[in-house]
Amino acid sequence: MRLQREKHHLRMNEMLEHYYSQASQLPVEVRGQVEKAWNGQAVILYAYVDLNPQFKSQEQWLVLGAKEIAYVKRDGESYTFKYIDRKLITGVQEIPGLSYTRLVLLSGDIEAPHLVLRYSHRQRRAVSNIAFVLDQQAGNKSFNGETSNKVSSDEIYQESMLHSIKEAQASVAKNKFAVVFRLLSYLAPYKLSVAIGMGGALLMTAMALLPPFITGYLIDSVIKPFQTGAMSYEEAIQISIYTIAGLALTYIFREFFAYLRLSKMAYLGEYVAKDLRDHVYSHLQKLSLNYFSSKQTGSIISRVGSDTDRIWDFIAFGVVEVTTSIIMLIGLGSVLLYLDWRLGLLVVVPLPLILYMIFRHGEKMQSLFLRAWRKWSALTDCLSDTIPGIKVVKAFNREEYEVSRFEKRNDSVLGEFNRIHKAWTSFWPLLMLSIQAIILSVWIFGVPRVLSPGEEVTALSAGTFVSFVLYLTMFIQPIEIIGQMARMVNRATSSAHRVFEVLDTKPQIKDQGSAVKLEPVEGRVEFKQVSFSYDGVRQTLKAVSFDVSPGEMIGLVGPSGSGKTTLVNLLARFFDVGSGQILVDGVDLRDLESGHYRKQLGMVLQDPYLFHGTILENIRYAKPEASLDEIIQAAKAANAHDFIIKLPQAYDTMVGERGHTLSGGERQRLSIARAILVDPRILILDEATSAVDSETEKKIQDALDTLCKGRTVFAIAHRLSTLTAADRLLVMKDGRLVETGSHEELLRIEGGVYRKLFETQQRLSGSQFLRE
Amino acid sequence: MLGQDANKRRVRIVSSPENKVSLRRSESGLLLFKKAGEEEISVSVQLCFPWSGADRFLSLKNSDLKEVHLVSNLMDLDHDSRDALLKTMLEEQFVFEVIDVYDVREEFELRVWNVRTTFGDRDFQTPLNSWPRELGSGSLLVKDVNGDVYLIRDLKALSKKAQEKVWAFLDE
Ligand SMILES: Nc1ncnc2c1ncn2[C@@H]1O[C@H](COP(=O)(O)OP(=O)(O)O)[C@@H](O)[C@H]1O
Ligand SMILES: [Mg+2]
Repeated sequence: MRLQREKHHLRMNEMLEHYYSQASQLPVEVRGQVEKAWNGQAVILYAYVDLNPQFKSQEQWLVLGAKEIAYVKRDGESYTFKYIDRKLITGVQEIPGLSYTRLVLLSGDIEAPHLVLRYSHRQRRAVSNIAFVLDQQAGNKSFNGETSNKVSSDEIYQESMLHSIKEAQASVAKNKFAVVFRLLSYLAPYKLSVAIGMGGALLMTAMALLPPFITGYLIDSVIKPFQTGAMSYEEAIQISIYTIAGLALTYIFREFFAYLRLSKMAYLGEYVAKDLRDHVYSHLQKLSLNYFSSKQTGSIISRVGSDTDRIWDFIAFGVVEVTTSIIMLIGLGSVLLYLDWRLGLLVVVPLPLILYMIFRHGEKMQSLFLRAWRKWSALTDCLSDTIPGIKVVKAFNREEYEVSRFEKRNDSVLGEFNRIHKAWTSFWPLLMLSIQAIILSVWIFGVPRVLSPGEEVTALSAGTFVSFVLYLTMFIQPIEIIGQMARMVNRATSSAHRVFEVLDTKPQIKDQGSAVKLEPVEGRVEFKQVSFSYDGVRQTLKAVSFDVSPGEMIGLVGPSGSGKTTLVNLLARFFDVGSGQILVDGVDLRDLESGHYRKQLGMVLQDPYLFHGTILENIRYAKPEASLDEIIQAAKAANAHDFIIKLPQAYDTMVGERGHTLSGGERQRLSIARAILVDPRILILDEATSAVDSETEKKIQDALDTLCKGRTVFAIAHRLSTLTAADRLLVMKDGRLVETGSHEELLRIEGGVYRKLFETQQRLSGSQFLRE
Repeated sequence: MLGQDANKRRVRIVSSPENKVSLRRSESGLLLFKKAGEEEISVSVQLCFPWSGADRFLSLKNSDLKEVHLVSNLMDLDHDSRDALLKTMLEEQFVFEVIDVYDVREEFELRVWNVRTTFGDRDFQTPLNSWPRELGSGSLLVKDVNGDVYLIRDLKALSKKAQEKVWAFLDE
């Protein structure tokens, strides 16, 4: 498949030019000059800057070297260069405006910064990469500026530029035909079936051409000679019987070939669709969380479901129908010209015109469909807004407003659909009328020739004329099919593209070839200058460093949005660090075999997810081989056993979507049981108790205490009181680790973040007491 | 409860007239903000209602994007400060103004726009299921995959052909 990808897709530099018409790399001339000024030291990173101070388009480049940065500006035909020593930059500001960002390289003097740059958001990621390095250096004097880039500056630049596009669409096919060809390549394993199916279709078409011919023959060579007395009754009957038998045979063969074609292609389509579904689903499971957060769940689900179904439709019927229709048209045209070239031309010449009319009509319908789609989605938005939010609607007494909003949108949907109906209902009868006109003209020109005396050159036999007329009626169906071809191909290619897109997305978390297995994980965790960004622009974690010994229990605290969840997500390797390193037992996480590592990792999340299935299956999820004994032990340890046996079907109760609804605390305890069962070496508790009342919290807390013994634990809690058991607290704020120490130590810090948090909570719980 | 009271008091102090603020533009085009008794800092302007009330409620943010001052009415500022603020505001409101639409087409998962802006010719992309936004007064706003904003200020002023291209995205 690798090779195919190369063949059918644009490469990154082509994509950049295709989408942005922007230079796909630093101009050679600029790179040469800059590297010469730097005595041959290589460019580390660079970015394009597209706005000048007057907010007009001007080519500028920001180039990062080991010691300096270069600001390059194009004036007319030449470039001007400005070099700034990186050590002199005291800070970096990136300030987003409505459609541009301003980058300021500070100098310590607010009046005279080193550089002020403006660029559209499109350039933001690439510039941000440079800003990040400069910012790190400004905040950390010992920073040596070395970046461990294994990737070339060109690749980083191209990746950054195309990131948003790839998020919307991971791969870019060269064109529709490339997608169709790729789709057809899935037929390769089924060559024989395809050959039989296509052969059947062709023979079927050929058979369909026979009956009118035979009819003409019967009239000219049997009926007419008999009527003029040139043939005896017996002879005529004899030939007629043979002819009719021949006719019957063509019908039988035709349907036999139809059967061959339909059955072969229908099965084939199913196989291809199944292959695709399997591929897509197993590939989805490999993809990183990033992929899932950048797409709507519905859109991912439809790729496995309805998109593969459309592909089946296309392969089973579309491909064959279109080919046979084209062959049919060509066949009919040739037969007509062969039978009588004068009348034939009458039919064949207007044909392209009719096809063109259909094509134009399709174009017009596209823009109507687009409008209708937009109005329709406004209507469904209304639904998906208010149905889940129905409580709010009722609470604020906005039912009437919502009803009238819906009606308004519904009206405009109706308007659009009416527009569509008006367009096609007036088009097709008109088109049919023009086809009838052609048929009529065949009669007008043909009948006088049939009636003319036989010795004239333009004379036409009655039989030829009849078969001609019969052939004419066969024109309509293929024309209709070809008319719909554009739409069918569009639908199939966009479905196929969506499916291929999933297949072409590379998992971001990938194990090295020489991945290490830790057996068992001891649980020493080190963060070394870890930075991370979800979007490549805003740093969510900034140079976080700490050490945790095996068996230590760490409490992570800090205001919401400070990056606690992000930190543990990195530890679970849902994402890879942006820069810096995470070591577990001294091994870089990226060198570990991720599956094996995650098996020794337990996570209890704030909103635990239960799959559709029984309680037993849910607890057993991570360890399918667990015995019933173990399950009960785990459930007891999680304080879940008691509520489970109150349910009439106990451990066999169905839960999850459409199943028995459990309360937040109950689901929480099930997920704790699930974690206990795998006996993890490193345990992550992310606000595991924040969504429950205090009595349930007590039960969960007890369960957790059992669970935490003898493991390395990272516990995130909103209520600081739940972290009393922690050996050490790490305090996060705005993505930085700002304080560490025990509860008492942290309280002693005047004006400390922890102390403030603690005091606020004390006050809150105090006022709660007053209320109660 | 005590905390809330303290907050209220702070709010009152900020909006009192004796608490003087002034703004000026530095040579490099940064907006510098000074509050009596505090150090001068560079700020950016955030319109609270960019499309529904652009000349009121301007939030001044420091480099951490935290608000340092809310200008609820430009008239509250002295003349020079107002000038400086307006100039910066116009800049920060920079969007690509579309003056012609050559083509809008679908390429698989993306809608590709091929337009002419006051900035020059430009191609941009939006996801298929994200629609332009019609602002009253006959303007159309399109946000691309990168977050760049394209504004057709006056639909009627577009050429007939361009109007046809965007027709599918209009309410009427
Ligand atoms: N998947 C995500 N994509 C983009 N930004 C995210 C994502 N998850 C969290 N963030 C952002 O990262 C920051 C830190 O979030 P998080 O780690 O969840 O904080 P906490 O757990 O401390 O409340 C927040 O500003 C949040 O908006
Ligand atoms: Mg969180």
